[in-house]
Amino acid sequence: MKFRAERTEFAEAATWVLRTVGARATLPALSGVRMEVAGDRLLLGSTDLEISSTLSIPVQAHRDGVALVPGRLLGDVVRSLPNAAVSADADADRLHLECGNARFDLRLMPLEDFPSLAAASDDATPAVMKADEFAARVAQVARAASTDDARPVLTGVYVEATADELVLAATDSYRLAVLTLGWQQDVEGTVLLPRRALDEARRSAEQLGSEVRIAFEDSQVGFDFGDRQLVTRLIEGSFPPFRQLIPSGYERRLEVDRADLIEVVRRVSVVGDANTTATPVTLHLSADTVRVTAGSGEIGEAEESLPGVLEGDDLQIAFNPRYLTDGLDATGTQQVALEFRDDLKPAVIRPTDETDDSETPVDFLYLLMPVRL
Amino acid sequence: MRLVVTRCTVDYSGRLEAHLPEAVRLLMVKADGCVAVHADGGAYKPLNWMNAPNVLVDDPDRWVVTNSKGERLEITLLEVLSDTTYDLGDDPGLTKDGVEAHLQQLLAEHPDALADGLQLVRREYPTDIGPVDLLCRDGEGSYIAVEVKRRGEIDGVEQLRRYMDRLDRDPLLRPVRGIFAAQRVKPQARVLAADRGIRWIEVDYDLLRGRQSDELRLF
Repeated sequence: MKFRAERTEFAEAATWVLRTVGARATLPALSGVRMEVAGDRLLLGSTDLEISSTLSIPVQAHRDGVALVPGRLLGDVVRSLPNAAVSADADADRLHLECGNARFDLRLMPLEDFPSLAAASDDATPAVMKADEFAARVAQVARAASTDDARPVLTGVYVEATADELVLAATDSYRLAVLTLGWQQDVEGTVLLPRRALDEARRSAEQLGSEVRIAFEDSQVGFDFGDRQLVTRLIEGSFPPFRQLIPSGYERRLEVDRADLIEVVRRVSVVGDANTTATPVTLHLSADTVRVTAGSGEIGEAEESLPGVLEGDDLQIAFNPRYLTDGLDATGTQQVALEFRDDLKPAVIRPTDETDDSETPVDFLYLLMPVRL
Repeated sequence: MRLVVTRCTVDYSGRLEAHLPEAVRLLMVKADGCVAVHADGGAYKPLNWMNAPNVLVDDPDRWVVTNSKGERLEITLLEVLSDTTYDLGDDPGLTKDGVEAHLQQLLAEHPDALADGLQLVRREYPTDIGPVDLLCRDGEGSYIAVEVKRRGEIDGVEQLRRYMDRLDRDPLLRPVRGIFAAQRVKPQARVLAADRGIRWIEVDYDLLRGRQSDELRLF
């Protein structure tokens, strides 16, 4: 394998593919990046057995071939390359890299241990979304997924794709985010995707722009960004029947400026540890004011009020501040509505207006369990 | 139980020689005859003690405790501040909270807490190296060996791996997967379990017992 590539392009490609390099002691080959020169393109690939990434860049190819390069080392090398074209030449056990006056000689890893990379099949008709729209929708929902591996099903994002609708849902049992997006696509599929895979796809979409093609298959889902692809395996198991959790009505409804409420909750919650429910923020709702308090005699206390319009009786209800601001943040519109039954039943956060700047119809809600005081 | 608070000096001779200078201390004489000299600190450990059987001669100003091994504890009482005796009655003994056994029983009743669709085949499924805590089947009919611990440590993972190896020799059960369930799984045990191809799960004992958790959840 021998090629010459443009430094910025090569470095960016190597860095991108490093995101899915694995770290399993049992299969050291996963820590490598697969490099292949075929025709006039360099193909880079890596996998952690859950997510695989592949991309290709144009190079001046001198000799076709394949090599497995230690991922971390490759990353460190490309980050420090001087500003000049990169020449690479791999023999049986070494990769020689030259860039300007710098020379690197990297020991290769045994290629035969590296698993074959998952690739999206050509049969599946992909759904096509604008990259920024895709990134924004994933960001709204994925944050509600659990990070606790003890219940793998909850670490996933539920995706239900039909010809005219895309439904995304995620929950960690304390909150639930559900987004329904109208679209016209020739796809059909209900899958549970690892949150990490969706986050990687979102990051790539944000970085690359343009569009993303999503291919739903029986055992995997592929995200295609033109010259690069992410393929993720699915999480097995059944997602909780979330639709039945959504209350059909409410007894109180608060309309409030979203950014103001986020700011107040963030400010007030500094007297507690934002990551625990041990120090919740309490919303004291009355006809035209929301008073937010937090803290205890032991640590300190804080309070701040902001205007808000309440329909229904006064209410005092407490939430985990991070979960609350996550939901408000995800809602995206200038004004939000918070619907309540009582202080122990889940609250629903919804956008109130169509100021969401997307062209497609979107329905979003965020269900949030209160904290017992 | 006789408790004496006294200003005293203590001399011990036997395996070594020890002297405690004058100070206020607590002397404890238990019903079985053992004598202990406590200071107001040092957790549960006495400064000096003499296990039963021994002979205590308790003169008003001097106690001498001796035993057959030739040890001698001599306590000189300079001032007795308090001398009380209580009958504590029979001790029921220490009953350890049977969390592990109870966890196993609860998980046997609710195997779906370990994985969706899991069904119990039997508790204490016998193998020739001892019984595995739970043998279950998943929705597709494949067998899963479950080891239940209160604290999930490396040796528990190894133990489960051995059971899996044994069970795997049975063509009717093969292939047997493993789940390592504990209230808390130590990081080293997590790494080892992943390495051995075993899933680990932290189970919420209180939740399993149906005790009302203070946390409100959607489901």
